[in-house]
Amino acid sequence: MVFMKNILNRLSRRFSLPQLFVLLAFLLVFGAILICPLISLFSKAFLDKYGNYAGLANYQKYFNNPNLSISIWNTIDISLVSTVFSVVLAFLFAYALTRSNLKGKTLFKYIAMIPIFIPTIIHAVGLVYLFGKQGVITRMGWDIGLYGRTGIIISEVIFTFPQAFLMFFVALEYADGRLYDAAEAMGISPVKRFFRITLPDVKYTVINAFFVCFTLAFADFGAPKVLGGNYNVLATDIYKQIAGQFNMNMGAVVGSLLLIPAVISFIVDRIVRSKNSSTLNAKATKLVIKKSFKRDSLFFVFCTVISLCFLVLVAALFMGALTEYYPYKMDFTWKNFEFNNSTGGIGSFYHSLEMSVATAVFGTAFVFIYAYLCEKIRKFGALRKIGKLFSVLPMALPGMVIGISFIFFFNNKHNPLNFIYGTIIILVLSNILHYFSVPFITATGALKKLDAEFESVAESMNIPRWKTLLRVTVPLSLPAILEIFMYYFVNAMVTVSAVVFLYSANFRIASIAISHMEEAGNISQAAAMGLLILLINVIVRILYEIAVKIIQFKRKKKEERTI
Amino acid sequence: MSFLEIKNITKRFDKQTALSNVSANIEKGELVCILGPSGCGKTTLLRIIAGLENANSGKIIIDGKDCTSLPASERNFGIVFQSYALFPNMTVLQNILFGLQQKKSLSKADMLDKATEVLRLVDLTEHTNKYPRQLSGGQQQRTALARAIALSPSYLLLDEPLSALDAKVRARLRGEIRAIQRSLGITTIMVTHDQEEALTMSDRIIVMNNAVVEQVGTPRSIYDNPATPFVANFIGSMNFYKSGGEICAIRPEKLIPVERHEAYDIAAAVKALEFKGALTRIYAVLPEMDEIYVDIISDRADALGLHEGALLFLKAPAEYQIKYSAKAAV
Ligand SMILES: Nc1ncnc2c1ncn2[C@@H]1O[C@H](COP(=O)(O)OP(=O)(O)O)[C@@H](O)[C@H]1O
Ligand SMILES: [Mg+2]
Repeated sequence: MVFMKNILNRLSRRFSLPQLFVLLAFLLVFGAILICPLISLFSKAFLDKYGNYAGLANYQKYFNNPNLSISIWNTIDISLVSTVFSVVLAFLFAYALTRSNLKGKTLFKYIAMIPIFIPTIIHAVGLVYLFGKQGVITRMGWDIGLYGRTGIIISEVIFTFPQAFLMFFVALEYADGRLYDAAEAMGISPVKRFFRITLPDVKYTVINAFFVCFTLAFADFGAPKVLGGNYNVLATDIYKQIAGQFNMNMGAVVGSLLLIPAVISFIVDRIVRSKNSSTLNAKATKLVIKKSFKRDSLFFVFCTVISLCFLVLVAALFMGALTEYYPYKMDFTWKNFEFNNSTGGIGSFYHSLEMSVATAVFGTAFVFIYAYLCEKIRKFGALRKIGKLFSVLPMALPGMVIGISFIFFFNNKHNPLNFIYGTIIILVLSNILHYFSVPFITATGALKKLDAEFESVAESMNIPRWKTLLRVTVPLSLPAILEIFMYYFVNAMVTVSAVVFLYSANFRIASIAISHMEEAGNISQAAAMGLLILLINVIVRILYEIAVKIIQFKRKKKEERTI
Repeated sequence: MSFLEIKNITKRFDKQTALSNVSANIEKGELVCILGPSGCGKTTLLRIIAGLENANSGKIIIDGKDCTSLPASERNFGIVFQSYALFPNMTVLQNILFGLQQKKSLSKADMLDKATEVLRLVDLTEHTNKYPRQLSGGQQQRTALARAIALSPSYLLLDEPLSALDAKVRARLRGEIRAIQRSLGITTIMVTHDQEEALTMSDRIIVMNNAVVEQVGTPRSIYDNPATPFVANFIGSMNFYKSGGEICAIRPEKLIPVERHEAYDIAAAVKALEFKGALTRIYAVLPEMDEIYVDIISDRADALGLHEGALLFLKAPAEYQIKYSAKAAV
């Protein structure tokens, strides 16, 4: 017996079986959550109500019904227009913050990120307070006709602006000063320098930002839900088909359409990533920004106007949340924070916190170990390649698609995992999957920076892998781990699209409660809940910044002490 | 039987062959350098000996035991990488204790004793509580060495351990590493691309080029009798010239300049003179356009009246001439 055990032990170590098992387990779990629901989605799209194979009949029915198929053109329309606005404005904003000597850059940067911290439904609610039938600005005599196309476009610009801004900010932050110096020495004008050097440098980012914004706007549910009126888009159509008419097959058809720009965007992103990686040059010098009062003043005005827009939006939420009954009774009150139980109550906020903490804890652990397995194991190259391929796919999955495919897959009596349907587990799972790709890139980047020989040295000393991971890799990757934690938390707090199909009546979450409040006409409570979410997200962000500062400070101290 | 036998190791990466049928033996207690230009497969060979990489074919036999597929963790070796790979979040002492803590047989006091002992050996007792970033390059290198020998491994692997250091520190550490290795009597395999390092430190050298072993031998035998033109050229410097369908090779210091009327073997036209103090280096061209050079005591060069375009007569003693077939290009 002992002999057998010994042999087994040796065999398992010789072929790194523990590593193989862990890697396989992670791949299987992730692959199952990623792919099985999608298969269910597509199979539903090709079945009729009774479960018989229907071929393309569902698609024919969809395209032959102008009431339905008009949504495609509407969605393309609003996505295209909002993307153009968003990309242009975000580019200018990022350019101002990176290539001019404007004052208050940090403040502008954080203001530009505000929309990330609130659900898209709340952007729409803010717009209702400003431009709605009784909106502040409407009452001043300027009616923009918010409901319908206009409102959705404005709301999507607000939603996608920070995403594009952050992409441009990263791209424009790095510049090869030598090129600009040489160009200036050759007497090339600033305008020409912009078109000949700056723009070509970031052209892939521009393309990428365009597709990212388009995809986000294309699949957004929150804004059209509140502002759409009779203007139908795909995201609201899915919701109506599934939650309103229980027509699962038609829902699946619309869901598969929603996937198209996301898949295109995904492919573009892959191409762009491969082209972009070669541009970093170790010899590049820092760009010295020349003095120019005219340029700085112009950009200051521009950034101030954009920032004011966001601040006014938040101010409108405060006004709505803190007054008795806008616009009729403007007395100050806290009572809007006493949420009606019928629409979810304060409980929904606690549920959101619970779900977001769970998403952040489990998501961070899962992503980090997953990235570690893909990056730091020596063997099993083919499996690790599959792992990396899986990791980028969630980027191409809109939340709504994840939501409905999860219903189809998990709400099935034959699925042994059926029990998680309607619990917090399925919400956490869908969030981890939905927001997987960005944290994976963060984790991989951090792991790549660590000396590849740490593992080899530890192995030579017969130190088990898990111990090296816990004592060396994790402590050294702490800033990235915190960043991932914050990313998961913030996104889980604001997400609507995936979870709108998956929450259960006894576990309502804040972003869903907001949509119910809005439906029930309790718009001031919706604003109040939106502010709570904003508050908690800002707190988490600040805690993150403090934690990173502390880590940096400690590291610096380690370098300074004695010597 | 040798302590470590490398038998017909072949290793291919996706496109290229990093090691092609490599064989060599390493005796107990000796320091062997694997020497070769960068990219020739030295590190790959070292990693295969360590068990950190698997060969496509061939065998590694350690102490008479076939270890070809034994994982690194069971081979009982110490390793120092070019980057040192010190854990930056641990102090010098913690770096060394990290491995020792794995030995269940040791008590806490024993561990500390052992750590103190190796730190004394590498002369770092004053720096035990510093973090790697607070150390100089040489101190980091010695910390990595201390960590590698703390577990009393049966052999030691060093991958270009000195190449990240500046020349002065490097020269000093050569001696220190050699002294520690001798005093522990530990079998050591060191990878380097620096021929001087290999010549001064090793008992034997394995010269590699393009994924194959070119020659194995003591520094002296390799210098005196390089088996191939590559080895001849890579270790020390060598003059090559054609003579009767063969390639003749001779070390510059073995050529003796003589007067025109004396017996000579080679006549060449002086192309350039380089005054280097005590010595003057003379570059010259042979009738068949082969270029050679000789280092001559400066006074002697003056006496011979050498200048650009002058004729230089040289004796090439037969015992120092090495002949290669014409096919073996340099
Ligand atoms: N992990 C790897 N994947 C692919 N090619 C590799 C890998 N490691 C080494 N090589 C290739 O094998 C050859 C030998 O590499 P290496 O052993 O590191 O050379 P050396 O240490 O002599 O400089 C090189 O051409 C290198 O590019
Ligand atoms: Mg190497």
